[in-house]
Amino acid sequence: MEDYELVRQCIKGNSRAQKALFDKYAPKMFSVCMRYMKKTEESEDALQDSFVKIFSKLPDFKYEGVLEGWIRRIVVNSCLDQIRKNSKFLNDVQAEEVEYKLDQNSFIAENLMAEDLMNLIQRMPDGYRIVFNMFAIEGYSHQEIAAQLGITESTSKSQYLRARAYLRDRIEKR
Amino acid sequence: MEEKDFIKDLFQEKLSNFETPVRPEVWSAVSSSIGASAASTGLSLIAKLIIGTSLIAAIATGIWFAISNSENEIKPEQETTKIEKSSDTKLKEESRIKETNQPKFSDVQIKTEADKFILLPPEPEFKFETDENPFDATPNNSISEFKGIDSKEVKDLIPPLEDNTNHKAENVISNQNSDSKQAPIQSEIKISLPNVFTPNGDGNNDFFTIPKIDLTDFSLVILDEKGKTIFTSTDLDLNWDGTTLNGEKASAGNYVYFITAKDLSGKSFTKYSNLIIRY
Repeated sequence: MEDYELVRQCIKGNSRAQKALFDKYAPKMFSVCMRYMKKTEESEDALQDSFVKIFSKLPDFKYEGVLEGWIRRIVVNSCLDQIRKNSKFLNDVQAEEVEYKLDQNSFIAENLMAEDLMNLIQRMPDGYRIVFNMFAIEGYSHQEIAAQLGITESTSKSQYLRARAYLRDRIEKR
Repeated sequence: MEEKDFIKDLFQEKLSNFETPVRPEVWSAVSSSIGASAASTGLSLIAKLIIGTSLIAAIATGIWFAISNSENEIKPEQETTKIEKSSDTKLKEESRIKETNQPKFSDVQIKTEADKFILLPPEPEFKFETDENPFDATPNNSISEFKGIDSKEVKDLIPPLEDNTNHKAENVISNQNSDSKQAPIQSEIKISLPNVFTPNGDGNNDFFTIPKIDLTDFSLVILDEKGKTIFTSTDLDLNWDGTTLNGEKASAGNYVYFITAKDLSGKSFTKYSNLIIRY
């Protein structure tokens, strides 16, 4: 079913359409959650919150953009809410203190698999990870990130640069 | 720049559409949160999984009927829109044929259909006659025919947000509406409250301050996560360095604070915000 029709049916309360919408986007959005939340359990919680929000806000969706983009924003916001709630972002760990090691065999520089990159991201310290996710993958601007996280724009930029250096380092070492 | 693009592009390319399988339990939880109608789908899913016992088969049958009923309820409106907006006379003829085949329909249905027509602009009365019956007669056939012919056109012609969908929406999301209703009230007094500061002495955002606006009878209370008051002030020009009432530095974490004050017109208000303290 096309998104447009799917949305219409979901608003009407058609439970099959709701399930279809969930099935269509949940796996992708679960990856988003996994990138922000690290732990599967927390990711599932965030995903669940997101979809409850998505279904209740669906009547507000104005078809101004792509449905997936709209959904993704809600998912990211839910993740950030969850992170704030867990106050993980606050107890930020410095990169230097974090023990990281990639499984030697699982990872070849020329053939980086998505799973490996997921792994890399999940091992990053929270502050790096969130800013990196938002900027590099979700495409938020530093200004938006700063507003969302209550940090300054320059903090966002420097966190991103550090995260990037961190990742580059891990990738090149292999 | 080259490296930046490399890392960013690499992660974006590999991960922006990366999918991770979701456990069915998550859907069950979502569906039970969004209402009973969705929960029944969860049931039918389970039923499918455990097919084998006659009991569950019976439940599944029940659900099947429920679903097909709800389908019928939905389909007529699609057809309505289609027929209503279509200039294809062939379609109208088809519906007329169906009308003659089975000219029986209930009053209630006419009424609801008529309500819908009011929302649709062109010549409602004229087409009214042709439209009523296909739903009653053979919804399944007619829907597939119409869909097959030009479902795209249906899509293009349906107005993005109809009035009745909006009403439904309001019922469903009364919580959010209450949020959005609050917004304008709060914005009467425009004050943007800080929600984070870092009293670590690095010269950057070391003090918690209130934006300078004309207020009187100002008071501030900061509470920690347990609801314990850790700081109060009545000084509008305060520069709080994170020292709590008992003289210790507030630990990093989440706090909430309330401001009560009167604006220039003498109207008192209370605002609150979360406050994150980091070092």
